[in-house]
Amino acid sequence: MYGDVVGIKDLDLDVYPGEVMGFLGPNGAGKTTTIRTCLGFLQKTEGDVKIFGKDSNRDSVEISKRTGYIPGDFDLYPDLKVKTVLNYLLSLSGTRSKEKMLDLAERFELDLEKKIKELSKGNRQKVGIVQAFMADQDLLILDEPTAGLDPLMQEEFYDLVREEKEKGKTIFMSSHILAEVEKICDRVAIIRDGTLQVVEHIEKLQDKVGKVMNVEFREEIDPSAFDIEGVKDIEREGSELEMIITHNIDEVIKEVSRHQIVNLNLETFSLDQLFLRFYSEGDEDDDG
Amino acid sequence: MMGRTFFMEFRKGWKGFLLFMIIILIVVGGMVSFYPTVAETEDPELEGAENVELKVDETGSNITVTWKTLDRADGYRVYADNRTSMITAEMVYNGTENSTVLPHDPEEPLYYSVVGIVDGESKFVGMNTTADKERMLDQLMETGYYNTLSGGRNISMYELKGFLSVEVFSWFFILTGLYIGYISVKTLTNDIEERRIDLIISSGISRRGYLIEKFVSLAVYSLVMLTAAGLVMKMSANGIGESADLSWKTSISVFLGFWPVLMVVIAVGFLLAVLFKNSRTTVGLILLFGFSQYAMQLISGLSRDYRWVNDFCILGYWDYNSILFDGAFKTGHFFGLLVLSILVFSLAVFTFENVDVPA
Repeated sequence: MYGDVVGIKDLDLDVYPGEVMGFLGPNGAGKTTTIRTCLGFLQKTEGDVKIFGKDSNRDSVEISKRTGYIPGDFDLYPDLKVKTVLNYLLSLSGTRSKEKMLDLAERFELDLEKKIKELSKGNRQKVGIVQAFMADQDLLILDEPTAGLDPLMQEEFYDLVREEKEKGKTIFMSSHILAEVEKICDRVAIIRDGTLQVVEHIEKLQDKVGKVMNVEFREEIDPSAFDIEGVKDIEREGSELEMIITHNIDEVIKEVSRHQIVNLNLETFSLDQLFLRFYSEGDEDDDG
Repeated sequence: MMGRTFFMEFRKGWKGFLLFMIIILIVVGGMVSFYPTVAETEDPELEGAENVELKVDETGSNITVTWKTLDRADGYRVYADNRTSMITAEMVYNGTENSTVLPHDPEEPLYYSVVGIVDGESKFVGMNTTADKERMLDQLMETGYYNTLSGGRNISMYELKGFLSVEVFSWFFILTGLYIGYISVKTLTNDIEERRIDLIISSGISRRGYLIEKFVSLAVYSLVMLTAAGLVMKMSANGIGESADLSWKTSISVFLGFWPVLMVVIAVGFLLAVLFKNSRTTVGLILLFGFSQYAMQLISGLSRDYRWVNDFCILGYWDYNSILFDGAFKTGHFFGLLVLSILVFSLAVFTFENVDVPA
C-alpha cells in the first residue's frame, strides 16, 4: 500500500522452477510493484511472498544471493568504469569467478573500460543484463529487460534466456513487448490495476480465448446461421463475416461449407491481440 | 561480501574526500604559520617613540606632547590619529616650539606623529601613543563572542595554543561537521535518487550491512582526516619554531576528540536519509542540525544563565580548550558521544530495515 492507495491486491501467483514466466500489464498496472515486493524492497501489508520457500522481507538477503535482477529503471555510478561497477556487484553476490561476466560482456558487445556516463541507454541496459546473469543465479527477475536494446541485441537476449532456461534457471520477466513474451515465455500472467487477471500457458490462453475466423461468402449470409455454442462476437460487413470460435469448430465449418465461399481465414490470436482483447473486455466490464 | 561497499565509498568519492582533506590541511597548516605575524604585534614598537614624550595632566583633560628638536629645523607639525597607519590623521599643531598642550579624551586613545620642517622638507621625528600597546588582541578576547570560543578561559592570542583555540578550532568544527553531515546524507540519498539502490541491495548485501559499511567508511575517513590535521598542525608548529608549545600528543588528541562528534553527525545524517530518502529535505535538515549546534554553543556562552544549553549540544562535549591548555582529554565525553552515535545509527538501521525502498 502507498498511503491509502493499494499497490497490488489479490495476487496469487506461483512460478515453477525451470519455467520462463512473462508478466504483462500496461503502465501503472503494478508489475514493478509486484517485482519489488517479491525482492523485499517494499513491505507487504498483507499476504506472503515466498521465494525458494523463504519470506521475501525477512529472508531477502538469502533470496537475493540466489537471484539475478534487472530493475525497470536504474542507473549506476556515472564516473566509474563498467568493469568496476560489475566487479563490485559481482563481489556482493559472493561470486568469485568473472568468467561469465566477461563472456556476457563480449556477447553483448559491452565495453568494460568505458565509464558508465559514456554509455548510451541501450548500453546501460546491457550492463543491467550482464550484472543480472553474471553470477549464475537460480532465479532471474527481469523488469522490462530489453528496454533500449536494438533488435539484434534483443534477439541475443532471447537466446540467452532460452539457454538459461535449458540450464534449469527460472525466469520471471515483465514486459510490455508482447512479441518477446510470446517468443520466450512458457506461461504468462496478466495484471491490471494491481490485480492478477489471468495466469495461463500461452497456447492454452490462445485456446481459451479462441480463434478468429474471417469468411467471405459469394452472397450475404444471415449471421444467425452461426448461432452455435462456442461462437461469439459475430460481425458482418457485406458478404464478409468475422467471428470468434472458442469450441465446436466442427459444426462451424459444416455450417460455412453449406454456402459458397470466396475466401476463408482462420487465425490464432497473437498475444498482442489477446492482450488488447483482454483489456477491452475489462474496460467493457468496467463500463458495465 | 563484507567490505566491498566500504571500499566502493572511497572509490566513487575519493576526489571529494581528498579535496576537502587537502583544503582542511592547507588551512590548518596555514593558520599555524600565520601565528608569528600575530605574535609580533604583541608589543608593537612605534618608530621614534623615544623622541616623543606624552604626558597627561592631573585632570586628564589635557596632554602635553614634547619632542626632540632637529638641527636647522624651521618648525614642527604634530598629527593625531586613532591608528598607527595615520591614514586619517589630523594636524593638531603647526609651529616652531618643541612642545604643545592638546586636549585629551581618556576614552579615545590616539597616536601622535611629529614631523620637523628642515630646508623646506618634512623630516620624521617620532611617534607615540596613549593607547595600551600591549595585548590589544587579548582585549578582544574579553568580548562576548570570543569569550564563548574560549569557554570562559583566560586565553591569550599571543600564545600559540590560544591562537589555535580561536583561529583554528573556532571554525574547524562547523566546517568539518557540515561537510561530513552533508556527505553522510548524500551517500544514501544519491544511491536512492540515482536509482542504484535496488541493484545494490538485491546483489546479496543486507540493508544493515550496506549501512554499516557506509557508516564505517565515513568514520574511517573522518579519523584519517582528523589525524592528518593533528599531524599537520604539529609539523607547522615545529616549522615556525614553536615545537615546545605544542606536543604531538596534544596536537593529535585535540583533533581526535572531535571524532565522536563527527560520528554523531554521520549517524544523524543516516537517520535523516532513511527517514526522508531525498536529498533536498535531508541536506536541509542536516545543515539545520549543524547550525543549530553552533548557535546553541554560542548562546550557552553569552551568559551564565544560558550555560545549561550546552548540555544539550553535542559540541559542548568536545572541549578542545581543556585538551590544549590542561592536557585533559575527557574520556567520558569521548565514549559517551561514541555510544550516542551508535544508538542513533542503530535507529537508522532499524528504520531502514522496516521501510520501503523508494523506486
